[in-house]
Amino acid sequence: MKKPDKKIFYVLPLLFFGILVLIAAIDLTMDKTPNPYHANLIKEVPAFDIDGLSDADFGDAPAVVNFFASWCTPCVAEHPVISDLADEFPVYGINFMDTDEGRRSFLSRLSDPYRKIGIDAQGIAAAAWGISGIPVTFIVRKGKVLYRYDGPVTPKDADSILRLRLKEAAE
Amino acid sequence: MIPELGHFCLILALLCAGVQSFVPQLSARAAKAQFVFCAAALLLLVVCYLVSDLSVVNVVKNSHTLKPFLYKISGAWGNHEGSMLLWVALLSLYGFLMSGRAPVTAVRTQGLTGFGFLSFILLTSNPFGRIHPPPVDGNDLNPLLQDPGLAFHPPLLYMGYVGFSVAFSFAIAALREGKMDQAWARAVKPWVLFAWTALTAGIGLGSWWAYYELGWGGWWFWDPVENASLMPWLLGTALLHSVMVVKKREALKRWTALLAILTFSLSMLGTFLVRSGVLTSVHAFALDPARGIFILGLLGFFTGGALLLYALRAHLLSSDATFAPVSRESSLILNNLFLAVIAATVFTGTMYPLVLQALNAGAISVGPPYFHRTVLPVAVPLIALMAAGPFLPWKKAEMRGVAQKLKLSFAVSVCAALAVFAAATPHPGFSALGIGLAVWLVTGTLAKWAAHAGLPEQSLKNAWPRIRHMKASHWCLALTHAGLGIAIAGMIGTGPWTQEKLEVLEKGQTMDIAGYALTLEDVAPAFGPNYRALRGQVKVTPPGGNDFTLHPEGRYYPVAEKTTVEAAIRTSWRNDIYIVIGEQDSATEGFAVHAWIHPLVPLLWLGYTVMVLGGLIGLAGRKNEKTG
Repeated sequence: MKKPDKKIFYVLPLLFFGILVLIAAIDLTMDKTPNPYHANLIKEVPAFDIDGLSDADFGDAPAVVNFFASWCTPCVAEHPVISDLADEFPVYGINFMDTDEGRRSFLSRLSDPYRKIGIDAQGIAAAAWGISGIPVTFIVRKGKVLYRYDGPVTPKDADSILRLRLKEAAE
Repeated sequence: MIPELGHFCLILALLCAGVQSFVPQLSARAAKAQFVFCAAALLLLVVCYLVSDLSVVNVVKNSHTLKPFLYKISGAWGNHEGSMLLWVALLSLYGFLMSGRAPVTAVRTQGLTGFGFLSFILLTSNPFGRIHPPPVDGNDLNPLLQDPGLAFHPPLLYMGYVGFSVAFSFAIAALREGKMDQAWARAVKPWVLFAWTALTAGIGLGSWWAYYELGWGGWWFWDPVENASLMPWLLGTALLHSVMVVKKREALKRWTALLAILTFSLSMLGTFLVRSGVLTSVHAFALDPARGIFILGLLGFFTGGALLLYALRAHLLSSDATFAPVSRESSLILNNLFLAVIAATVFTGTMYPLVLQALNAGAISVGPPYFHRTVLPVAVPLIALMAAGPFLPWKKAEMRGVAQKLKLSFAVSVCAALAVFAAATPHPGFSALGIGLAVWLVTGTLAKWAAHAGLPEQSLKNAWPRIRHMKASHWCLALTHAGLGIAIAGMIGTGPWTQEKLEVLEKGQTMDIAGYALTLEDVAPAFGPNYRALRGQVKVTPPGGNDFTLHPEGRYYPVAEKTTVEAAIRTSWRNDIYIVIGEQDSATEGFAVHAWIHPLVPLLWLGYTVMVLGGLIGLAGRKNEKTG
C-alpha cells in the first residue's frame, strides 16, 4: 500500500524555520521604540467590573492602568518605575491571572504603589482591554484610552512618553 | 603567556575543525586534534582563573582573588565566553569519540559545527583578551552563581545539549546517503541516551538550584531560559523512543531524521536565547546584539541547511514496515506525538512574546497560567500511556492481555486518587488526578519490571537469578519511567499542596503556618569569605514534634554589589520547611519572614535521581551486553 510521496511536505519544516529566522533577525536589528500604533487599538475604556475595580473608579483626572502579576519577571523589572509614577499620578493595578498569595507576596516584597487593585484571576478584564500578555500599561482620562504601552516601562520611556502624555492630558 | 597559548590553541582547533569538515580522508584524525586543542584551551582558561590572572579581561570581569576555590574553577564557565568555550570543547569531545565508529559524513558535519562555533568564539567572544594595565582585583562572579549546584549545572546541561549534535550529524549522514537502517539506529541510540541522561541531570540540578538559591519558594518558573532546556529534553525524549522504532522495525525513519535535526536545533536555540540577550530573565548574562546576530546566523546555517537537505532527500528514507493500530509501534508514535505537541506548545509560549517584541509590540510575558493550561492536558494522556506502552508487543498487540496485567496497578492508583480526593487536600480534583497518575505510572512500571523477572508466577527465590541477569535495557525502562512517576508526586506536593505565608516579625514574635509555629529569635550579622550577611535565627515548633532552629540569611556581596537570599530549608520525608528572611522593615523594625511548607519535595529530587540512574544503567549495560 505504498502511496506516491508528496515531496512538498518535506519543505514545510524549512519554510516554518525560515519565517522564524526572519522574525528573529528583525528583532535583533531593529530600533526598539514603543509602537504608537497601539494607541489606536482601543479608544474607549471598556466596561468591566472585577473584584476591587471597575471602569467607574477612574474619575476624571488622567490616570495610569497597569496590568501586573507576581509570576511576570518584566513586571518585577518595571515595578520601581511604576512606583515613581504613582508618586505623581493615580495608578490603578489590575492583577492578571495570579494567586492571592502571589499577589500579596509581590506587593509586600516590592511595595504597593496602586491606588486600587482589581483582581482579574480569570483574565476577564484583560480580555475587555484587549491584551494577551503582560505587563501592559494604559493612560486613561474621562473614559478614553489615550495611550497603550506594552512591555516593562523603562525609566527613559516613563519620562519621555508616559509623563509627557499624562501632563498633556492634565492640561 | 598562558592566555596567548590558550588563544593559539583555539586558532589551531579552528583549523583542525576546518580540516575535519573539508578533507574527508583526514577527518577522523583532525577530530582528535580538534579535541586536544579545545580541551587545552579550556584547561588554560581554568588555569587563568586559578592563579587569578588579572591581566585577562574575562578573569577580571568574573572572578576575584578571594573567591572560594571551587568557584574559581566554575567561574571559568560561569560567563558568556567561558561557557561557549565549554560548549565547543564538549562538541569536539563528542566528535573525537564518534570519529572511529561513525559515517565520515557524520564526522564531517560534527567538524563543520565545531568550525562555526569556534569562529563565533574567536570573532566575537574571545575568553583570552588582555587588559592593560591590570586592575587591582576582579569584579567577582555573579553571587547567585556561586553555588555548588550551579558549578556543575552548565557542564551537565551542555553535555546534554551538545550530545544531541551526534544524532544531528548522524541524521545528516543518513539523509545525504539516503539510507537509514537498524545499524544506523544501533550506532546512534547510545549517544542519544547519554545526551538525554546528561540533560536530565542538568535540568534536575538547575531546578534544585532554583529551589534553594533563588529563595522564591519554587523550583520551576517557566522562565524562557528554563524552557530553552526543556524543549530539547522533550524532543530528545521523543527521539530516544523513535530511534527504538527504527532499531527494531526500520519504521518512522523520516520522522526520526526530522526529530534529530530539531532536537539539536533547539539545543542551539537554547544557546542562542541565553547568549544573544534576546531574553531578560533571572539568568544573568551579558547582552550583546552582535553575538546574537552571529549565533542566529549559525542557527540559520545549520538548521536551515539541515532542513533544506531534509526537504530534498527525506523521500528517500521510506519504510515498508507495517504494524497494527494497537502495537508497540503505535504506542511509541503516540508518545512522540504527545511529546512533540508539548514541545511545540512550550515553544509557542516561549517564542510568542519574543515574536511580539520583534514586531515592536512590546516585551510581554504569558507566564505559568498559559503553560499550566496548555501543557498539562497533553501530559495527562502521555503519562497514562507510559505505563501501558511497554506491555505492548511489537507489530500487533491484544488489548485484553494488557488490561489483565495492569488490573492491579489500575485498582491501586484509583484507590490512591480517591484517598487524596477524600482527604480534601487543596485543589482536590487536580491533586487526585496527579497522584493517581503518579501511582499508576510507578506501579504499572513495576508490573512490567516484575513481568521481566517472571514475577508473580515464580517465587522470589526462583526469580532472583532472572532479576540479577535482567537486561540493562529493562532496568533502564523501569527506572526512567518510575523516576518520572516519583517526580510527578513531588510536583503535586510542591504545586497545589504548597502553603505560603509572609509576615513582618519583630524579634521574639511568632507566626503560624500549617500548624508550625515560627519564632524569630534573633537576627545577627555574619561574615563569609567574600560577603557579609544578616543571619536570622528562627525557632520552628512542628505540630507535636521537637523544636529545631533554622538560619535563613540575606547576603551582600560588596564586590559585585549584589544581594542574595539564602533560604534555610529543613527536609523530612513528609515535607520541606523553607524560610527566607527579607530586609528590615523601616517602619516597625521587624524583618519580613517568608515561609513555605512544601510537602513531598524530596520525591521530586529522588525522581530526577532515579531517572538519571536509569539512563546510566542503560548506558553501562549496553557495553557489557556487547563485550560479554
